[in-house]
Amino acid sequence: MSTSLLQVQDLSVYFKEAQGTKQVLNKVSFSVDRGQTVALVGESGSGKSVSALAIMGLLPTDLAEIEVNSQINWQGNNILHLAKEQHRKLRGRHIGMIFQDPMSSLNPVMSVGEQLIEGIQLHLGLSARQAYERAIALLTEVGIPEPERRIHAYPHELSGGQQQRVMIAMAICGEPQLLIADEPTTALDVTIQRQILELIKLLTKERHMAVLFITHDLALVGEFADQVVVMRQGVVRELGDTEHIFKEAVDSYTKALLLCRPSLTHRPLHLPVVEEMMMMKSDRNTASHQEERQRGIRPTDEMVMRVRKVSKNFVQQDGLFKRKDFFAVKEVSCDIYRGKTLGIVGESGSGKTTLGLMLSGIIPMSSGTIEYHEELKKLEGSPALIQIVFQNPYASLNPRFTVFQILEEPLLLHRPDLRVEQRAEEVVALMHLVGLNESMLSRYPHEFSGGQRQRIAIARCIALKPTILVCDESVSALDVSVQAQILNLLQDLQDRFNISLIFISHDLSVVRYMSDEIMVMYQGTVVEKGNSDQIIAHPQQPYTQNLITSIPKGYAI
Amino acid sequence: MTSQEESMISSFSPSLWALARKRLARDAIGLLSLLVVVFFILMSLGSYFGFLAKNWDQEVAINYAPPTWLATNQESVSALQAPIPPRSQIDLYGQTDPLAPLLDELEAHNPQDINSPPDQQKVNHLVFGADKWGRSVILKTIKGSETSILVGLVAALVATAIGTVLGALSGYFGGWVDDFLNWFYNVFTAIPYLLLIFAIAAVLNQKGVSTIILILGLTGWTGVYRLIRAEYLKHRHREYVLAAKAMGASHYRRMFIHILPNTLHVILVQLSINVVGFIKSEVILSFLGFGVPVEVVSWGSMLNEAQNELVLGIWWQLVAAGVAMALLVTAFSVLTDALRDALDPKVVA
Repeated sequence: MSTSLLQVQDLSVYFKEAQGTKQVLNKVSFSVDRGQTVALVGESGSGKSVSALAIMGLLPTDLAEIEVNSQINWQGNNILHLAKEQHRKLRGRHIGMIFQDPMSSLNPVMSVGEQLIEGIQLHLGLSARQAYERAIALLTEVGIPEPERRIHAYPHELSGGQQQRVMIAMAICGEPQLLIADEPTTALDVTIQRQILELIKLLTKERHMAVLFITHDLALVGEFADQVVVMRQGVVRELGDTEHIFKEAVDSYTKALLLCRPSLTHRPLHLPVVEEMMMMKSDRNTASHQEERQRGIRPTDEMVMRVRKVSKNFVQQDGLFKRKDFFAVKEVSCDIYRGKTLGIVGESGSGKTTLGLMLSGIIPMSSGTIEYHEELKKLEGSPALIQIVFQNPYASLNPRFTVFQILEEPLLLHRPDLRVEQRAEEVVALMHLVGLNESMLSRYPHEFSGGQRQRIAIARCIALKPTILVCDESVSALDVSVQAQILNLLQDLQDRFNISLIFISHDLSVVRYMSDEIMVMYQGTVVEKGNSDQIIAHPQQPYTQNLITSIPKGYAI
Repeated sequence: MTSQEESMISSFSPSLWALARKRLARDAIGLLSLLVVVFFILMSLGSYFGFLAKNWDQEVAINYAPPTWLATNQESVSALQAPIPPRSQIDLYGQTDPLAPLLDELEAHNPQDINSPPDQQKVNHLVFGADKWGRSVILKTIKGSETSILVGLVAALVATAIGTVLGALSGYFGGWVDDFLNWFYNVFTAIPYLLLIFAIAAVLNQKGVSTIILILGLTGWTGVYRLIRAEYLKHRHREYVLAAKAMGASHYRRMFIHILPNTLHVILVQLSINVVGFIKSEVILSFLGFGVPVEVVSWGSMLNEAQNELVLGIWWQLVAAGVAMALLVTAFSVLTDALRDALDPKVVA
């Protein structure tokens, strides 16, 4: 083929800031051929979404500046010089786009049918009757059950996966030749993610549509992308066929990205970290050279917490007088051993977060008992016994407190014996413990990156040297490379202070890496529980098996 | 520990207010508004302690002396300078004034009331004119600021404090506390505003500045309550509050140390709206006869007088009180706005 469908050449974009400009894209070049799936992979701040917005012509003109020499060629014509009106016609009709969060991309006060029909009429100029039939056909195509009924549904009546399907239907309603998918599965559960990916794969095949797939997860794209573009800090680090990227990556960053994600087969003592790997510049695969960490509960291990038949139910009004119980968590039992990790896996709605909050004493249990080890009984109800690290480091730190105030708080509350200087010393020691510099103490949380914030949250939790630390999806909001750093940090702290971890996550590979024991939860109940290697290697329950097969496996060899 | 280390550690914890001070110092408009507000407060304090406008009630000019710096209108001056016969007892055809002895006694006690400077000594124009009794409008405005600023600021502080505390309790605890306070709020707002003011005024049964402050403070908290309650509802399940709970922070600490600074933007805006509103309310109350007593001057009473004068083309009292009020109110709004920005660490100054 002489010209590609889309060719991006030397795309440089600057953002205007208070002082001067900041370059966010530096001579980015790649191309998408007809019917091809190209994956744009990079961490937050790599410029992958900016590239997509530039292609769509959706960059805010008052903030962003595109360099004059940049080219975005659509079938050979540079679309950067198109008038707004022409660009608008290109969007939707020729290029469709799906966004990360389907809930906020759909208008909550319009039924999905209305939104879909609006797009169809706009792009194809069909009559209302024809557009309605077309909408039904599209919903059927994207795999919505009972489309005649669902077309009248409002977005909140659909599940996350169904919402994303509707978004895909809207994106393809103008029969575009290119579909830009910006992190379309990040907000979804693993099993749903798999279904959506299968759907996109199917649609590209049937419609001979090209896809530009933007994601931070390299492993995700291995199975279905034809080409992979790895970006970092606005620069294309490596570009090539998927096979090439996964098997013989040249760039150290690409290699680091591939290795820093915990796998289901290896458990190195430490996860490789991007910075370290890029510093070394060596070709050898460091992960395979590392010693494997041995996991599992030994009979000699000391039990610190015995959880028996813990439930949480919410009473729901059912009709005028009837009430019915909804169990968020139902009769969960587990044991926590000193210095060991219990991993809790489940999809959203499985009750794993509720369980974590109950175990850490933030919300009361409806029924059940928690018993502690003899020595810990005196600590019962004290924060020095159990602490919790939350999922979102952006929400769990008070935005009006400095880091010093945040870290000082637990000491202020529970160590009245300390003098002011001792507290300050203690805080500085905590900062060093989590790998941060004490010069950052006077800053506010928003000045930190996600990984640094999570380090601060962890430092706050270990200030009182708790026996048990609950990590509720603590690494889910982070980039893969940062995730590896935080996992290493948690591991270090566990080794050093012999802390028992309760590690809650939807990501099975992360849980397997961290845990001695795994508990799989589904709709509030424990489906399967056992030694982590055992569960992953030989899952007994169909639900667990389904979860395991849904994990992105990277490039299928 | 060396002194350097000590200073380093003490600099670790610049509080929100220290940061705000630094940021406010960089905000030229905010600083200007702060100066204006401080100027007004100093002015009212000065008049309260008798440094300023002490002799505001002296009738130094002829009534309604026009505002001017130039000595114009020579004829009228000469006409006024014509000798006025001294006051004498009117011949009442043999009848004696039954009040005469009483009047004499009063005059003997308060000579300044009677021996007001004769009109010959009164000036016929003032820098910003005079009122009906020939008192300087400028001094009157300064004296009036005392009442108005006191009423506006203190009543707004009272109302905002009540609203914030009730809103915090209601939003933070939820449940029956919230139900009860909501019920109270609903009942309170269901009563027509003026009727409520009259009711409270009737109960207090005395006129004066403190009464006005109480009336406005006790009735003005509802708007603040509603907004603060909503803020607390939003914040109480935030992860940072849960984290504080996991840390063992008490309810009080979570409510007022953790959440309150995060609602400051709402509180400050409400405070500024209330100050403005209450300065105006004082006018309405004075007009309705529930305001300050006759012998006390306020911007409200000045505006009240001005409505009769305006028909006669005498505008200076209205302008003086209006400009003073507009200046203060604008400066106060701008200041709270600047404060709100300065108190939000996320806003890049």
